Amino acid sequence: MMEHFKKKILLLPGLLPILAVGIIYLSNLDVPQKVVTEKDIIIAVVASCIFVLMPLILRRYYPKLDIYILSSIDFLCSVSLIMLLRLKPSLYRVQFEWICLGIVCMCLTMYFSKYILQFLDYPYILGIGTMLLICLTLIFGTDIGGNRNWIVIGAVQVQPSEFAKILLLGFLTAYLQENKNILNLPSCNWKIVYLPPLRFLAPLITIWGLSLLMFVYQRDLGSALLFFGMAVMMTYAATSNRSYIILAVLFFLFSSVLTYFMFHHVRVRVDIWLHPWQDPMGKAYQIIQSLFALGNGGLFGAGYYHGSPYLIPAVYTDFIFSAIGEEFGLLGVLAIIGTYLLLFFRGMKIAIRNHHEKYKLFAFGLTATLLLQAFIILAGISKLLPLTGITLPFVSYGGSSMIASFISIGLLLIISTKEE
Amino acid sequence: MQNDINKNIFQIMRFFLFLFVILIANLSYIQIIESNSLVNNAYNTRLVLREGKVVRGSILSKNGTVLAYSKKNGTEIERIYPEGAIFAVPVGYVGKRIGNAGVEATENAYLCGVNMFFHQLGPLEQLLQPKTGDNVVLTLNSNLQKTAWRAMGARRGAVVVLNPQTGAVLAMVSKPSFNPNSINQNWQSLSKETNSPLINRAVQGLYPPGSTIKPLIADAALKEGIINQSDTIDCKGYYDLGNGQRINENDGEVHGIVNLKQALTVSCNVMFADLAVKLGANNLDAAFKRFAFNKKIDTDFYTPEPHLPHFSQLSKGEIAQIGIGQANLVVSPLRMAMLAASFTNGGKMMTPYLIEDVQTPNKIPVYKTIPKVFAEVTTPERAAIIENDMRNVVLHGTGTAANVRGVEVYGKTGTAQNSTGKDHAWFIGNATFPNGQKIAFAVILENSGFGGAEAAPVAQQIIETMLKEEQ
Repeated sequence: MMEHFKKKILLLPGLLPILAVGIIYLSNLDVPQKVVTEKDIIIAVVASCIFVLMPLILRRYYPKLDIYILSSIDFLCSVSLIMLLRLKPSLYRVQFEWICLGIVCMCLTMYFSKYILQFLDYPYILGIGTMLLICLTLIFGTDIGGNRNWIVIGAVQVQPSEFAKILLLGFLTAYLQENKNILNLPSCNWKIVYLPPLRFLAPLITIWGLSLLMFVYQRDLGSALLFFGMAVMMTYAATSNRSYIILAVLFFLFSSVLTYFMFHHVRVRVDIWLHPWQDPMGKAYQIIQSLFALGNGGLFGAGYYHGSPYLIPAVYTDFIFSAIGEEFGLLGVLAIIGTYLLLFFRGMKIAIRNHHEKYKLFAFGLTATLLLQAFIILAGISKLLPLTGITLPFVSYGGSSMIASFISIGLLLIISTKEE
Repeated sequence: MQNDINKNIFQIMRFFLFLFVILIANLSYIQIIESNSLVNNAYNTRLVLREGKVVRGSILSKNGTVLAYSKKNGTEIERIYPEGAIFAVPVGYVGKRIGNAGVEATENAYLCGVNMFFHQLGPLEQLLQPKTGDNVVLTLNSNLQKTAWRAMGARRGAVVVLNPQTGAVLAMVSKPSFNPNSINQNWQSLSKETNSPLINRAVQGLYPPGSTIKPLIADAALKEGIINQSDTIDCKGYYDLGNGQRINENDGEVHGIVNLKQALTVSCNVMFADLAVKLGANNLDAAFKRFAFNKKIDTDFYTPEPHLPHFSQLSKGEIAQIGIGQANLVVSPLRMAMLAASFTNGGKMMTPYLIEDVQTPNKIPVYKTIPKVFAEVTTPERAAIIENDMRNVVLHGTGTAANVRGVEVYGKTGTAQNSTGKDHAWFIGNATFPNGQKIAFAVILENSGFGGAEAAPVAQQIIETMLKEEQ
């Protein structure tokens, strides 16, 4: 009985959209033009229903699904909806559609998992797929908001790097699991670093090189850092070989210094990071506004609908967390971070419990990537790291990111059903 | 191998935890410790944006002149500065994309009706939100401010008038200035103008003090026993540095045998070059530090970082030049007014301040400045000696143009050579009025010539205005 009650209470955050739409409706009663329309109210109610019903229905088909993961996603998506409702209602409506599509994609992933997971046996198909997706953006990429990592097909804008992430994880899993013994065979052996023959290292070096290219050419530091981090984490998890970490750190330092001196836009970014107050109304406007928003939030926040987060450029996508920090304060910030950590630990639990090595690595990669991505953007908007344009999974506005995140979770959940 | 991967996963989890501890620590630092300073930052327009809901408070002078107020003009709220450029430097402006300045920046939170204590309560603040911001009353006396503005005419420079007993700023003028009513439109051209109208010369302007530094040198020489009041020197019109170089008197004057009082009265360069050389680098350094020239003024308006020359690295010639306020010694008019004020306040230098008090729209005071001692710079005895000598400057010396009948005026003129052209005209000093009230002042007119002829009359007009107010 207690157990039953506990699991239902986890679904309460799913009702946030109804609460939010109610608050905005009531606080604008005396304003002549309507801020929220009937359609918005219907969307909020439908969204809340979906958030409550989705975990219940899924668990009917897969009784062992992790309720914590499902309700964490409910919570993050609810926060995304209520922040967009408050920032720009038109995006709120679109985001709702993306969430629905994301849930559908997640269910499809789970339904067809038997076929999808078979790809883990063909590393080179996955590898070539990743390369194609990344090269596609390198060649046909369009610049939107300073990042040249978009592909525009008619009216649809896609960020292939979001999907390349999953393919890359698949490739790394398959390749590393099959070759980990070779990768640990030392051919050149120095005192601390021992590495296998170059031809076995080549795929990894290619990924690092590609991420560097993404950074320099597409100015997409966020994705570059993410891809690089993924490759390092996966390699270490699979091989237990610290030499790869040393090699990666050296490569990272070398390429940072090189790009700093070679490319003006890299220097500008580092300068903004180190000395934001030298040009607070110009180059550093975005990060300064983000800090103002966070500072204005304080411990308790200005209150939902009472901050001024629209002063931050790109607040709907990369900077949505600053808006949360302003209106819900440090407490809200901790709630969001806590949710990501909960998701991370539940995902890690799935990875650790699974005895199938590929599934184990894949589940680990999917979860760690999610958290790494959250860390990179949170560190960026709070000036811990240089600013990087990357989405906050499940919260930032955007279709590619939302669908890719849902597919990741779908894969993770299906792996959890294959524990034995 | 199975357990190996799990072991690695645990290691990576620990690493992630470490990263998130740093992340949360940094966010807590921003949202708790830095919160107040970020909210009050001049570039943060969030408080100004409350004008939609809250009418920004007014800024008033001590004697009730309205210096800034907000008026609803249709849907937009306008900020109006009735006195225009005259008070622009201390009052500042509300900048749309350029950040606020002056009192509009430092007292932004009060003017917006934000109580920092309520603000920390988060959403509860919304319940306690007033409709109008608080009014800020400045220490400025609008009559003195206007007199100083008029008296300076078209000349560049600055005037600072202080209450020597409290440190309250009674007037703060900087010329050329700008019209705060049109600052947002004219920002581009103003910020590019070569004579820098946006700089607060009274506080940020750095000028060689010329002979106005001599009271400080006299105080240092008396303290170190290098001279007493009856000692004399023979001024032959130049001070010989011994290597063929000389420091000359202005206009080839020869003062003959003079004591300290007479030397101050006629502004004898030979005497003070000699005193500086005898004091030496260490004593000069100690004296300037005693007069707090190295101490940052922490107060309710912006002040720059203090700057003093490295005395120990100066040559003998440069040390001699320091004695007459030249070489690489530069000071702000505010510092010189504080120097003058300390002599009439028994050696106590007060911290200058601009905010008298802050009141809610219903006149309930929410803040009042309490005067603070900035530094004990000299003894009451030496302060009295120097002040007495400065009285003689106005009665019989270079500063007679500042004398006002019925007021005890003390002063010191300065004519500072500089690299930008004609000499800067300085006049610093004090005045004690019949009812016992005191003011201290510093006047500088850039490239205007002789201090006694140009700057002293400005001080005289200020004293006369004050005297009229007394009666």
